[in-house]
Amino acid sequence: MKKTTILSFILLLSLPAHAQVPGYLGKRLSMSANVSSFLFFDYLQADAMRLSYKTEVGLNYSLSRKVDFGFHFYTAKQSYLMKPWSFQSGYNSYSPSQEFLDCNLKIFEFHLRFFAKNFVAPVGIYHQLGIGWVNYSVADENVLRFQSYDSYSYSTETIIMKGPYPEYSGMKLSYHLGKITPIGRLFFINSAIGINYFQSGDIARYEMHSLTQSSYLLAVCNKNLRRQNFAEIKLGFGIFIL
Amino acid sequence: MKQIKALIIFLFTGILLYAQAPVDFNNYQPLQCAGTIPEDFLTLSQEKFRQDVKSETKSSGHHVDQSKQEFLLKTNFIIDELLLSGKVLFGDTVTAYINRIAARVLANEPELRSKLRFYCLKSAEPNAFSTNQGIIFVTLGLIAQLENEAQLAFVLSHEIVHYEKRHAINAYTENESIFGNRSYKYNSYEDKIRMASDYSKENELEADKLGFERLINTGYNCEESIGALFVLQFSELPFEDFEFDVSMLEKPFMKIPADLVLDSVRPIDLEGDMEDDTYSSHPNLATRRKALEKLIERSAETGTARFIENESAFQTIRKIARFETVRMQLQTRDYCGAFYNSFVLLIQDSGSHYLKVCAGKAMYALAKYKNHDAYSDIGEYYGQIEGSQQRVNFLFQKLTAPQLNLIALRYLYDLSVTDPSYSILAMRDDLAGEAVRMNDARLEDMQKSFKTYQEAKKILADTVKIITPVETSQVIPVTDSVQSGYVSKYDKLRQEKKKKEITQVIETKKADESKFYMLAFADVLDDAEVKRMFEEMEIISDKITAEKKEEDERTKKMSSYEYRKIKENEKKMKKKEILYLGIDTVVFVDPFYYMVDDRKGLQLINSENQLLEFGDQIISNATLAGLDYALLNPKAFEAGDVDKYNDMATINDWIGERFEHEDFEMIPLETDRVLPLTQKYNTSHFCYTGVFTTKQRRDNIGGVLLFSVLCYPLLPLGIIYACTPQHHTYYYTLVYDVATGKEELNHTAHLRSKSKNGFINSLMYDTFLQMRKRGKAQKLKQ
Repeated sequence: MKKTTILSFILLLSLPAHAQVPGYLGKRLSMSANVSSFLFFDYLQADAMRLSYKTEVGLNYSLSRKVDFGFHFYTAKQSYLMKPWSFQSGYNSYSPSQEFLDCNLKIFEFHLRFFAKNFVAPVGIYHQLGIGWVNYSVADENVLRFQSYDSYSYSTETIIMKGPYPEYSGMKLSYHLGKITPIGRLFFINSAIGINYFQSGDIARYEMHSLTQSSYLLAVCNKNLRRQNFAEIKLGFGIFIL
Repeated sequence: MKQIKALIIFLFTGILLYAQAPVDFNNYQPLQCAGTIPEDFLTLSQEKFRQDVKSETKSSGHHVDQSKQEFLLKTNFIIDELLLSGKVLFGDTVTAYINRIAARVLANEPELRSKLRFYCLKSAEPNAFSTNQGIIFVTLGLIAQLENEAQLAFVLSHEIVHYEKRHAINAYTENESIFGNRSYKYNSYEDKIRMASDYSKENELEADKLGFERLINTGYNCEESIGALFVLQFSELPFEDFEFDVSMLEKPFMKIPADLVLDSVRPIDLEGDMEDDTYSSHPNLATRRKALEKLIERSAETGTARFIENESAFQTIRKIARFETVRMQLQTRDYCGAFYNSFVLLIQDSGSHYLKVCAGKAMYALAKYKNHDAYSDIGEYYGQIEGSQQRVNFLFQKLTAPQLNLIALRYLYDLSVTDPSYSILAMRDDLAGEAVRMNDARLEDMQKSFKTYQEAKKILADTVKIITPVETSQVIPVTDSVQSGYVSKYDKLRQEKKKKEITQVIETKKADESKFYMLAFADVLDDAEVKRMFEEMEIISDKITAEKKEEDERTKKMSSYEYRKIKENEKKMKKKEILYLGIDTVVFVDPFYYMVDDRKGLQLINSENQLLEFGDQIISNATLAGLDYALLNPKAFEAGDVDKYNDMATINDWIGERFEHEDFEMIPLETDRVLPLTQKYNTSHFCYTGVFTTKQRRDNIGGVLLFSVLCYPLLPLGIIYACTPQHHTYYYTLVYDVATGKEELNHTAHLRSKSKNGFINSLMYDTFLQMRKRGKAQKLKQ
């Protein structure tokens, strides 16, 4: 988190302080709410296509005629498909008794928008580079049942897991190509397509030789998080405040 | 009641007095519109189009076909563009005169008269034309060439027939059927053009015939219809053919050398009326004249009056038109023509300051183009010119840049003595600067030239004095020996010596003739103003040379990397400074908005609607950006905005001329007319802004689709790409300082997007903010 903040400040300072900033008709601060979605291929579930979904609110501020800085907060409740999991070098495997795992997702993101040639921030076509912190966890109301099977001893065991579940976190990098189209003097529509890259974060934990219950959850969440949120189409509505 | 009557009589008399007020040709002021703006200028084009379609449907009793609708739409928009360009006059003396003649021509047809409107068009081209909407335009160039009222009456009568017989719309539909109809499928393109041209020629002959018949009843001499055709035949020539006198440019010590004066000029071609008219829209003049002669022969009554209204009124109107035409020739860069016409008019009005200024402006422009090696852009080759004007074209073509520079400078200097107005002084100083910088005409050199000239003159005079007795020895006896018929050996030697001397002097004088222009200021070299002018320019020139030298020396010492870096920094700084103009007040003139669809063509109605919105956007963004502004938007003018219309016309003339001189800096010749506007609007900054949008098919759709099929996750994007058109929006802003003629801002933003009002607002606000905010340079100045 510290790294992100420092990086943002460096970026901010590097911008020319004396730049003429027209904003949109004099307004430089805007607030927006967006929804992001994308079709993804859930190959684990009989080749099914599903839609991911996220909501987002954010604030943007025009730093210069060409650059916008923003802070956005994403939130989503995504259902991740659970499949039997077997540890690669062992004989244990876990079979979940339910198909989906509800997971809560929060993303805090700082971004810089660079507006395309001849557009003046904060409207027009932009290229957005974002860096964020992702926090995800299984919803506490989930009660999970697993059938553990040891192929060496042929023994089975039923494992029951209840919340509160551990939270996981990681870094996110993103790129978006979008367009802000003003409607009248106050409002605007934001549309964008983008790709997100999620750093492994806590993934190191389940690379250990023994798979624990929590690392099992982490593995499911992390994998699904990447798959569901790799790309997104964003559509939103906003208001120019100041 | 009596009081009211008296007041009415008083007012009426006042109006009459005003109408008949003599024109001061010595201090002539260009024509301007007066009264209220006519309805033709105020109604929206789309509204006119709807009315036309409605009346067309009513008169024909059925739905108006697509081709006619297209014609009505296009013509209404094109004519409105002309009406709102500022090139059309209303309420002025010339238009009023045309209307009076039109009233006489249509005296027996009040209904037809009520449908027609006559306007004068500010153009040097001799022409008249009528529109389907009942507007008849007569150019000032034509009025300037006509010889009498009867000829004007015939021209008007001819144009009225075009309207009455709906020639314009019929020709359009005929052309559509020729070029678009399947029945003409197997005709060659040339055949089609000939067919269209034949139809147009029939219309012209019909207009001549019916126009002639209408003229019979007016009392005007119908034989003048032939005179009008003669006027058209020679309309490209100057107003009169007077021998050009180079002494107009000569000064006490500066004579134009004989080799720069053409001995004889090309005679005017009197047989130019039989040109091939196969593919022309008009029959040749000989054919038209023959047809009219037949009509005259057949007519029992042809009228006798050349003037019914008033001959002196016609002469005044024609003179106004001629004065205006000279100005318009300057606007269209026909500088030799303007100079010659000024010369012709000055013969009659020798005291006209206006004409002298026009001649000075023409010389200024010619000298500037010559100095910047662009003379071929403006000077028509003298060999093609007929009549006495050929001498003018020859002279200016043969004069070298330094020669023309100093001759023009002297002419402007003389003008500036009597009229030290801003524009004359600016042109004078500009030429003085170029004389010093580009042509090495320094005060010291001029003084030396004058001294040499005086010495040469003295030697010549002395030599002639000595040699004359020798050469004319038979008449004037000098010595006894001569008297006795005997010439001694010494006398012969002395004679040879004197002959040699005189040949040398003549040779020297010939060599000096090429530098004759250095004597342009010989008679005023001691004038304080001349000294100041040259000395000031020399200081500036020396400074520039020194700076350049210093720069050259500096760059010699630098590595190429350092040099590139410095240049890049300079460029960056310049770019930044351009961003901030520090303008508080600006006048927005004639905003522009055009939308083009690749498939449907020009979106005229949408463009007009957008233009109205665009005007509002300018107002709101200027207010928001803190700019004081005035908007001269012709689409938003009201009946009482005649002053605004005149201002817009003036500034449009200025900008029209300014655009012509793109290759080098030059003071626009219309500057003197624009300067009063800078006081009126409290700014010298005038801004042209507009939007141009296009909607077109995307490029390489097949390739993109193929690629997206191969990379199938991208297929939806490929389909979207293929199914949606490509939009381009160009938003431009030009800001000029009319006092200096400099372009302060020239910014075009190209968006690959629809022309959404939001984007335009964003760009406009940003541009206005740049215009208003002060950069470092402005802050330092303050």
